[in-house]
Amino acid sequence: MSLLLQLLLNGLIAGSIYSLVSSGFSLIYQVNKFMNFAHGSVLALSAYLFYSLSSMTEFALFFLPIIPIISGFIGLGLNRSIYRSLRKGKSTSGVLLIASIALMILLNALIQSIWGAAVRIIQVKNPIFEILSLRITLVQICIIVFSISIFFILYFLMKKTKLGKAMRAVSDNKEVAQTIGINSEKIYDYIFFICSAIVGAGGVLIGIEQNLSPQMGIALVIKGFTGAVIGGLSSIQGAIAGSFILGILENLGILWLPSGYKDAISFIILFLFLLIKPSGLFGKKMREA
Amino acid sequence: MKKILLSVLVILVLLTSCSGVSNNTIKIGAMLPLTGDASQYGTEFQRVAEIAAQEINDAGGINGKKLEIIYEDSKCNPKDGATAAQKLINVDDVKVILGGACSGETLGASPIAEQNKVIILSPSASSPDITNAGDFIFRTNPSDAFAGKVAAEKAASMGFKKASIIHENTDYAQGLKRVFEQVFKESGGEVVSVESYSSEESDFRTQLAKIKAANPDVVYLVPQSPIKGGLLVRQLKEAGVKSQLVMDAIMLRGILKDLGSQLEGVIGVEPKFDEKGPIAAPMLSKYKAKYGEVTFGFYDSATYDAVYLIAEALQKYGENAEKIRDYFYSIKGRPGAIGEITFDKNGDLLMKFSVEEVKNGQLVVLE
Repeated sequence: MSLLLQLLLNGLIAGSIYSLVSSGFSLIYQVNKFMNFAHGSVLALSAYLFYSLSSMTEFALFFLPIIPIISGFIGLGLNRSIYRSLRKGKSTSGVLLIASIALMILLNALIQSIWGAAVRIIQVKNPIFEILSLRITLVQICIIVFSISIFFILYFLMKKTKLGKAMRAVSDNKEVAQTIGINSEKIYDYIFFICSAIVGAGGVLIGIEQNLSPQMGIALVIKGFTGAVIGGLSSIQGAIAGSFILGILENLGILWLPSGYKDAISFIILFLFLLIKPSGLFGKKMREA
Repeated sequence: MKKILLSVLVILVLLTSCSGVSNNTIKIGAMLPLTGDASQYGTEFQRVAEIAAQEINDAGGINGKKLEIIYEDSKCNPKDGATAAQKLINVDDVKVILGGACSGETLGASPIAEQNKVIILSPSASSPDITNAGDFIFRTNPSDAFAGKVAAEKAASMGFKKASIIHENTDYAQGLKRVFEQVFKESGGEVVSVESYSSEESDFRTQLAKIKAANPDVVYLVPQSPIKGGLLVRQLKEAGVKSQLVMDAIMLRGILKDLGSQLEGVIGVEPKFDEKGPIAAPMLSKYKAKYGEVTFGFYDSATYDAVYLIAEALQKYGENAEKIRDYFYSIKGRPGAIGEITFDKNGDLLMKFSVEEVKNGQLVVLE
């Protein structure tokens, strides 16, 4: 019984980690209509930046609020320098997708050339709590709390603020939004800044939790993508919920199956959803982007 | 304007490719993991190979020709190992390949090398499967048939009855797991759970929760790279597993500096090696002076020896792979950085092993 509960908790932690990636991933997809795989590399880059800054001083936590801002500007920079010029050339979402994969590989290579391939560890005190023989660390609690608050913050942003309404307008129909005076390029800038800031903060937490390696972003963006597809690529709340479902199914699944099948479980779920319900559990019916 | 630029470019490309065909160099290939988790091995071995090549060329090269090593990124997996071998053999026309560092990439390249009669000499691929990979496949490090046996016998001799194994799903790790499982059972122990994970994963909590539930006396860890080894140890502690941990010492060396305190008491197994040996010591100090800390002393020495063996064979027999193969089989007790080099009839190296334990952040030899 306690094993089952521990696995459920592990699934919850894994789901929170995936949702930190999938929330931004799906928001970019929703408004910009392309899958930005470079999202995972922004995560890795942020984690490495935090590593470098925190190893310079004693006050590592001082940098915690600064990293998301830097990550936001990295995302903004990628949008302005690469994606904008591609959009100007009337590139299709397929071209943007390929460009984002190329960017992902480029950024990973950049990380490896700057920080090297060896394992990097962010040293922080990470006490372990044991409740009813269930074990969880402080960082894991932070990850869960942060991902749940992102869920509500994004909900509030999209439904209640003027910016959110403008984002939804651009997402629904870019041309009409422009005719009523919404500058879509500006909206794209906001989206990239917000999503990259979220994934940057997530990167720091994940970096502390899982140690740093140059490839960390790739595996995470694939899981985040899978979570987003399950919940519905066109809905942020769906993407976050989908990530939790993925994390829990994956971890419970290997209670009965050999553990080598963990990745197989998530990809089987991915295929099932792509075949049977491509709009996901909570998504609207997708339009051709 | 564009046309002029283009023609200049074409001429430049032609010029640079011509220089490669010049008769003043002998080219050999090298396939190493230069990106990904395992690139910690590849980058270090590449530097050592360059040190060796530099020394050989400074001493007059191979019959007056300079030794040149062409590197390909084999990414620690069979698919990219095969691609790297194809490129080195068909495009660069090499007769000898140094590498790979991982067993997977070496096994992926072996059939291609065998077919084309090209020598492969690996400094660190240790899977038992490489023993029978082919006539042209050699290595300057011992097979895991021994490393796994030493680890299992040590665990059994410490009085442990129940073992769990967690391994990465790669050729190297599966080989070690197989040997450990078999020898531990033969020694009267019981393997209570075997868990695995794919190379892309970094969250092992569920596998470790299952290990905890199986309540073993000893856990044998077989990651493919130190990065994953460090993560495994950390998550084991977080999961509250208090069993004795045993793993390959090469993994410990890669993480000792950063994770020293968490590794206290972990037992490691590696080939017996004297870093103060007459050939190893100058090489390692040269490395330290140029690149800083040495991580994989034994395997660096194995790389160094491999380059020298290749150069020696090329000097004696030219680029005749069959004669080089016969020469390698004839090597008995040749002094090298790793100690005495003797190949057996399968092109494997015979060596003794040492069992070590992490004490105060250092690997201390137990036996």
